Amino acid sequence: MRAVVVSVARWSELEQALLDGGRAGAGSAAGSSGSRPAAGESGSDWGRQALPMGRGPSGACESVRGLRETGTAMLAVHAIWSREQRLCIWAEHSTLPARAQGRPGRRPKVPRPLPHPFAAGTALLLEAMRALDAAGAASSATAAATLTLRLPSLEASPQASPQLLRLTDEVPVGPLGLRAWEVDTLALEPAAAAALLLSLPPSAPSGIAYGDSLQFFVEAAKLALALIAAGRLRPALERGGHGWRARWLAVADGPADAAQIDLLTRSLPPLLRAEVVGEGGEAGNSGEIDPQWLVSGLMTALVDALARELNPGPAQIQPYPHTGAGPASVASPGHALPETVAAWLAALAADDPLVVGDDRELAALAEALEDWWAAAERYAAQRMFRTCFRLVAPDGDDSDADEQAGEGPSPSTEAPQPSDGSRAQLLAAVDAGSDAADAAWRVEFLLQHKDDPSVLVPAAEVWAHSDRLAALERVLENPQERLLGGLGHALALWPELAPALEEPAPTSVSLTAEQSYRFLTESVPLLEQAGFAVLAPPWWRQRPRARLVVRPEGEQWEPSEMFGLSGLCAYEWRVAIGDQTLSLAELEALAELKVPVVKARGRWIALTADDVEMALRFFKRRQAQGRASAAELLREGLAVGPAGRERPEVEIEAAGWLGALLAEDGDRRIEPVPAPAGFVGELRPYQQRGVSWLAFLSSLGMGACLADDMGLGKTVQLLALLLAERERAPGQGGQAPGPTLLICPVSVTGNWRREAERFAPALRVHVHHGRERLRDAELVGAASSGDLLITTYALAVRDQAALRQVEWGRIALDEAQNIKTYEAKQTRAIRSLRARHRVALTGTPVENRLSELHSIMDFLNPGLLGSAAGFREQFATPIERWRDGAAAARLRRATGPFILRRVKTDREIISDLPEKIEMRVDCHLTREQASLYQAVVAEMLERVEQVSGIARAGVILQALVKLKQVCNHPAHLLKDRSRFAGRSGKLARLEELLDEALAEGDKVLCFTQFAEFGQQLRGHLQERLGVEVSFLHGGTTKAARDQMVERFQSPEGPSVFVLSLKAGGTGLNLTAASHVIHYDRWWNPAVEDQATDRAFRIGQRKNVQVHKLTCVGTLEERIDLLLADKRELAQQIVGSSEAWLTEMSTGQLRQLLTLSADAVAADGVDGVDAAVLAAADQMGLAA
Amino acid sequence: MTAVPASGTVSETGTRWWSRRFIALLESFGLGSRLERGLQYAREGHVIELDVEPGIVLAKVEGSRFTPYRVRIRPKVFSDAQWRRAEKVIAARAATLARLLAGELPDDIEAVLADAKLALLPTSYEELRVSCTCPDKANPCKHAAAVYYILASRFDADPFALLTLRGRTSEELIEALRVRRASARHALGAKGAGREAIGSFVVASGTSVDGREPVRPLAESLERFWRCGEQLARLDVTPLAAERPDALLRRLGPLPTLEPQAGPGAGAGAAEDAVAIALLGDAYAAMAVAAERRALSA
Repeated sequence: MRAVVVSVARWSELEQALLDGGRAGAGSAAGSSGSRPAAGESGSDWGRQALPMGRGPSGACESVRGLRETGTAMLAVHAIWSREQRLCIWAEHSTLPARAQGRPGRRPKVPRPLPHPFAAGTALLLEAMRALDAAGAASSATAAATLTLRLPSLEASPQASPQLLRLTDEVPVGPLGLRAWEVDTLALEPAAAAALLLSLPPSAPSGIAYGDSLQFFVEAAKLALALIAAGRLRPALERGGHGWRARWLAVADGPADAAQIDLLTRSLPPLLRAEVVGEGGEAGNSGEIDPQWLVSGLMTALVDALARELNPGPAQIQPYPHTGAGPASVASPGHALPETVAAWLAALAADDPLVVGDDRELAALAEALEDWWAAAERYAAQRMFRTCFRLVAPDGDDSDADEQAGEGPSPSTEAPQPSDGSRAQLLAAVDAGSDAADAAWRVEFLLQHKDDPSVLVPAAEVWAHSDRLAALERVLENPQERLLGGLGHALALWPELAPALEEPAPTSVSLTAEQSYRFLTESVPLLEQAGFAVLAPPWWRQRPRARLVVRPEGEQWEPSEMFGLSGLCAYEWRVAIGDQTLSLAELEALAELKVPVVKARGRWIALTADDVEMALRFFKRRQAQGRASAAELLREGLAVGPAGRERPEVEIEAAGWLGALLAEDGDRRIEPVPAPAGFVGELRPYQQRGVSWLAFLSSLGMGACLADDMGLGKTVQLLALLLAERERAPGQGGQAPGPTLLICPVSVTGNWRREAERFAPALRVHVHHGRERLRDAELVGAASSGDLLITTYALAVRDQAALRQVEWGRIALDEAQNIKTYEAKQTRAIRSLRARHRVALTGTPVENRLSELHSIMDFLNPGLLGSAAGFREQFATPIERWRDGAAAARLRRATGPFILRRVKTDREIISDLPEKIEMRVDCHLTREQASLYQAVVAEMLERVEQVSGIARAGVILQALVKLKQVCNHPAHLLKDRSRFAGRSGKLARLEELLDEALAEGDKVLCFTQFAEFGQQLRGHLQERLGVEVSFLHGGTTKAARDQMVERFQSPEGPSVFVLSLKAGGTGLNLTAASHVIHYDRWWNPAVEDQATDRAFRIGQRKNVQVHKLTCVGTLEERIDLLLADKRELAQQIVGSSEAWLTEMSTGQLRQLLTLSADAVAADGVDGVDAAVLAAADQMGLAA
Repeated sequence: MTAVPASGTVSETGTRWWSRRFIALLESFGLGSRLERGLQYAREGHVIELDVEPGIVLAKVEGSRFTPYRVRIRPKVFSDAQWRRAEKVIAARAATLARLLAGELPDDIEAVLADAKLALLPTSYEELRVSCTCPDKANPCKHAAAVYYILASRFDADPFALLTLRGRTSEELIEALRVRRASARHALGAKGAGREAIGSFVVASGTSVDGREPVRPLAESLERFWRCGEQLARLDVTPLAAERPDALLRRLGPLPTLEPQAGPGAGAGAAEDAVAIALLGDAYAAMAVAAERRALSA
């Protein structure tokens, strides 16, 4: 048996996406619903601003609300750091004209720059600000300001930023040049700017796209905050325009800080240097803004603003608090804190930096502060090299030792040793260590290059070069004084350095083990903070981890035992340090040492007393070894505690089948469950593995998240699991498994029923849905006597009382992202349902935020990831905001065993899949659509009776077109440019599909036969998804068409391509797409297939999924069934046109067209309204 | 040495031990109340210029007349031979110069120089050889006394100034010590200076990060005008509060204004105690914790 240390990377691509800053706009549903309440809350604050209405270039009355209603416009928001040291927010507007109009009136003598033609006006900027500033952080200290910016421009048209999604595809071409434009902005004072930047929603709210410049400022604010957390700032006093001001200045002179500042400077978008000051416009602007200057001003302002906000102020500062222990000489005049000093200290914490006091005294204080800094800075200034200390263990180069050891068997795989033996061995090692300790620990002195830490010059070299040292083109003047000065400074922080400096040319200092320990624990943090480099050996700073070693008892896990496995395991807690493992006894032995630096099994181990104590505290609360169920141990071993600093990191090491589960390729290691006999059809190999994996976790009672890519068959895997457990149960003599409650979106209830009938006819399925659904006792009865109850999210909430009375074997959630909002009423209700086992199916466990993963995992395995607040602090914020790789790895380890995710680009999965998968995607009409539909049908049936011949055919064809339009969208029929969002069930389904596809990084073709609707669809999708959407129609010029195709085919190009069936059906090669969506149906399979083939080419190493959106209960479904059932017949009667429909009798027409009861989702709670409800719920508005 | 800012703003006197020692020494010469008047004068900002050159201090002090009085101090300088002895004892221990370069006067400097039979500070008041253009015949006059206090604060910032008074600039001393070190190495036959000079540099990565790329004019930056570039995502900062958020304060050391001041009655060589750390240390710690909370809570 091979033990496996947990390291699961199943969703590493997900994490990568998060660390990369997320894919722009991958599903902005959360953003849009999140922004609404925010706007409502902070609205009053903004309203109070007596801001002048901005010049709206279009002259139209603007508002974001207006933007949303037309459903086609959006803003690309940018920011500039003005020379007045304020953050100026401005935005481009997608529907304003691209070209500038001349200024009305006489031509001025000095040409003034024209207003930017598509920059948003102040009123619209304020609206946008409401959405961005959810916390109301920046609601004060905002002012309107007009800046003149030099932007890349064509003659009369500024270039649009890449973030601005325009509705025209005519990209103006021509040579770009710089031209000055007047731009309306909102100017934020540094404090408000910092507040806004640190609370900006990670993904842009609906209707808004972040320009790179905004992201740049967010990074700058993060850096400012980090500098304060690290204490890298100093207080100062400066004479400003109106008097003395207390300031905090950033001290970013350490090599790490300098590198970050440098990185920031190099990343500065040229846009930030665009500001023109003075009236002269271009003529008056000869000077270029230096990025370094700009970053320095920016960082200074942000650090100062944040520091004075975070500084609790002098209330906590006792003047001369040390008087008791301090020098007796604190006599007058220095006894009481001078007034000016007190005022200065207070101003360092106040919003207003002004210090009032005697001018002379303040000047003296300011000078003293500068001298104070200069004295310390003299050493630091302009040093390309800095003094560096390297600790060397007695037996020489530690890295060599590491390498040698690395070749041998890894300690973690060694069998655990009897603790007595190890103790003896360890103590022997300790003795050896202490022998060595007296021998020769050494700290060597070196000079290290500031920018390239790999360049190290040993002190001996320094002493050999009196005035100049050259290495790799790096020249160091006066190296000896540099080194000496560094040592002189270090002496104050590390007194044990002194003996070395008794020599004329010291190269190192010898230390005892105890001194080395003190050096590492006490001096190193001080030295590093003071700007010295310290090269500590690799074994230093490894914190002890608690490792739970688990061994399942006896035989292997038998798939036949899958239901009701008690799975007792023997366990033992051990301590892991680096790649070493110690027993508790050994840790205790270590704790008894005065200096816990020992050499154990050939490796050095160093622990701080705090760490040892923390680890011992942790273990004292636990039994060192024993037996427990596998599930219990998994919970313990994978749980993330509430506080990472007070308890050690916990890891689990398991052997046997449990180890298999925890392994990265767990689904491959688990003993396969035989394919259920009752399954009609064939499970693909990866699906078979998925079923086994689900069965395994089910046997442990651990919740499982099946997160396969869209189209890989999550539904059939769950159905096969249900069959498998039922086929097995009788043979085991155990009781039959309880019924499964499946909760899914309304739009897929029909699909679930049909798939169950088709693949698992043996299952007793009941759909709990619709007006005539069962109530109370009847429902409980039907559920308890069946195998699968299918219901919707809305009904799961509404009928939860009855549902709670059923003893569920399992609750499964399809499209589990529906419970992504932890606090939502729906999520809470579903979490409260009880079942023996829980499953979540979703293609996108994380759409936007990591908190969604927490919400889903908490449903599956309550408590595993801790509370929502704890999760946010421990994982979500560090990973999303601070790109904390260690936190991401920890999260992956904790959740990996419960998430199975296969992607269709996986080589092996590809070979398992057919090249083309066609599926009908069912949609429901909204009530509005249904009544329109019925009206059209009624009108037609009436008129059809009154005419005959060609006129009759005309009436019918006209009505068919209208019905298709109704199914598409009410606005499509009405052509009234009314609101687009939330009125079409089909559109909602399309959005879901696109969200999922984009989240998977796929490209999509979307065909419609209506060109003008395509245009509307494109505009809506662009706003809703926040990504660029191309649109090709009959009127597109050849050149534009070629450009669009080329861009779509390139990886960086747009991911969604709307095409009119006529223009895009033939002659194009769009093989970058892996999804083809037919938004409306053409009752001729050949036409649809031809369009589909744009994406699909024989021999292509990619699978294409074809989704045909079909409204249930309408002519769309009827004709689809007709075509499917009687394919041959259909081929005869269905020509290339839809004329055959006109030959039907009125009775046939009535039958074909009349809306059936299931067309509208029950209770009006269809996909759309459910989304609205969810949003309302989030806002706390739902009843 | 350049002049102090001639704005009359200097009201502080030395606070480091050597400055206080200097003042204490003057007090010990029994100069009486004149010193106190000098302190008063210094605090009121009458000293408007101070220049320290090898072996001479020149200062301008505003008095009752329109033209400032000129104070000149010419302490006794070391002879060349005495300097050679001084260099020898200083070069023998790295600590002395190390501390001087770090802005500290080594606390054992007097003992070290005593080995060379030298005294850093004047042994008698006459050794200072002070003169002032004022009509007051007393020595020191209040102008000269004020200059002593300002001089003490200069010593605070630059302990080398004490040695400058004995006739050598810091540059001259450093150069002499360097030469002495080099010849000592040759005399000892230290391992060949040039032989492995470059070869033993530890270089892990060959990438040159030398020199900043010149900033491209805006007109030539149109291609990436709106873009940050990929590298911004590599920005790697942690918002966790530092283990020692007050380390910078500790590196800065005592803030003169807040420390007990040298003046009549201040004991020489009293232990330095950084009031600044006591006053600001809490603020640093609180800010670090608040920053971390802020970073992780948003």
